[in-house]
Amino acid sequence: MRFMNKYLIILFVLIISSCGEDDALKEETLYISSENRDWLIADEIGSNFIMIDNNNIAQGFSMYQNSSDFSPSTSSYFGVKTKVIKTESYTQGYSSNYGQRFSYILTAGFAPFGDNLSISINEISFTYDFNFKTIARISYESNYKSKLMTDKGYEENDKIYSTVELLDTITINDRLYSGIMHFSFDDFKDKWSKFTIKELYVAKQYGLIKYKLENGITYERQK
Amino acid sequence: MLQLKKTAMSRNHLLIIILILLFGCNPCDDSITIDNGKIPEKVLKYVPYQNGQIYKFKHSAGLIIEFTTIRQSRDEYSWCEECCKYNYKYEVNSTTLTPDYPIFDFGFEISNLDTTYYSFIARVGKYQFYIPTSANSSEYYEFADSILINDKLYFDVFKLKSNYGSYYDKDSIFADSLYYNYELGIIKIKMSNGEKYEIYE
Repeated sequence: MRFMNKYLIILFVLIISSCGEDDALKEETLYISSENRDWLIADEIGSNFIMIDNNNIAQGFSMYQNSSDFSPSTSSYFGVKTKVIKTESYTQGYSSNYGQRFSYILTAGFAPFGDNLSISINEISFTYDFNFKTIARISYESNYKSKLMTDKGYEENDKIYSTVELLDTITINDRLYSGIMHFSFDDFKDKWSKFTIKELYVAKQYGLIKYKLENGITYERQK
Repeated sequence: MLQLKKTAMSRNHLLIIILILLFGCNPCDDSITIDNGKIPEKVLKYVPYQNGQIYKFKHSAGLIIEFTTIRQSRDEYSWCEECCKYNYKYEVNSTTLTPDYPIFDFGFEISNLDTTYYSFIARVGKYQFYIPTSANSSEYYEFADSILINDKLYFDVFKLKSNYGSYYDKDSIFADSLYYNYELGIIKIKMSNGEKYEIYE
């Protein structure tokens, strides 16, 4: 009888742990808030926009990626899958005729963290947490800094000097944009070149609207 | 009886597997390597750019952009999926012009894999153009005895059309056509939005 019980327990554990994520004890889905969803670019693959620099050279950006996903992550206890969390995320990407690349990844947050927006432009990438209103991670070429995630929030073990400022509006080429994120790059300065992007502006619904290089060249979105 | 039958079947299976291993993939005989040698000097002259030199181009809005040149040769070997009787060792001469402004670079590649028609590809960023090296191919370019650009007359100019405009997923602005001659290289690049880059001497 004791042997029977043992086998039953082992069988039970095997059934639960060997199956896919659909058989976990608890499932949760994290969604992006409607307010943060506004940061997504209202475009479709193949759509494009033009940026003009201060020497009047035009650069065309075309969308090559626009996808959404609910990526699963599982937590387990002694091999038994106890929880599956599906996280909503969106990826949007553009490339230009001069080989510049710009992309968004908007991901739903899990407590205590907020939804986060990762923006990459050429060799710079940073992730902004809307709940803590801070840059959680930043990278430039192969250099990387990130804040430590704890159950109470972030701890800064490697200081990030770059900043993000949220603005209500900005006017570019006579067009008023609302809901602006202004990023100032201030890390890894010893690795910069004259083409390093040091300032970036993105707008809700539109994405990239302005950026400035270390050597002063400024690109602005054409109306 | 049954046991005997089983053993015989196993032997047959083993034999078939051995036969497949031995004859299924016919090992290649030693192929012969043909050395195409060096690209002739007169063909290398189709690219006038010299290693280490700086060349200038002027954008239609007025900015003058400098390009630094790296030019080098390397040996390559032909590749074929199945066994080939002949393999070819050939030379590739590549030239890259890197700008001091964040626009596209220019690339040129000549090879002598085919010694009856030297392959010559020009690249303006990600946009490719095939530059003729003989009168054989004539469908994808126009040839002008002379052409006036910026009040200056240029002779024997190829006007090469990019096929990028036919791509489904295309850029909003792309390099539409390239004006090239063997003596000076790129004379003009015409963008699809009307902007131009022209040689600045």
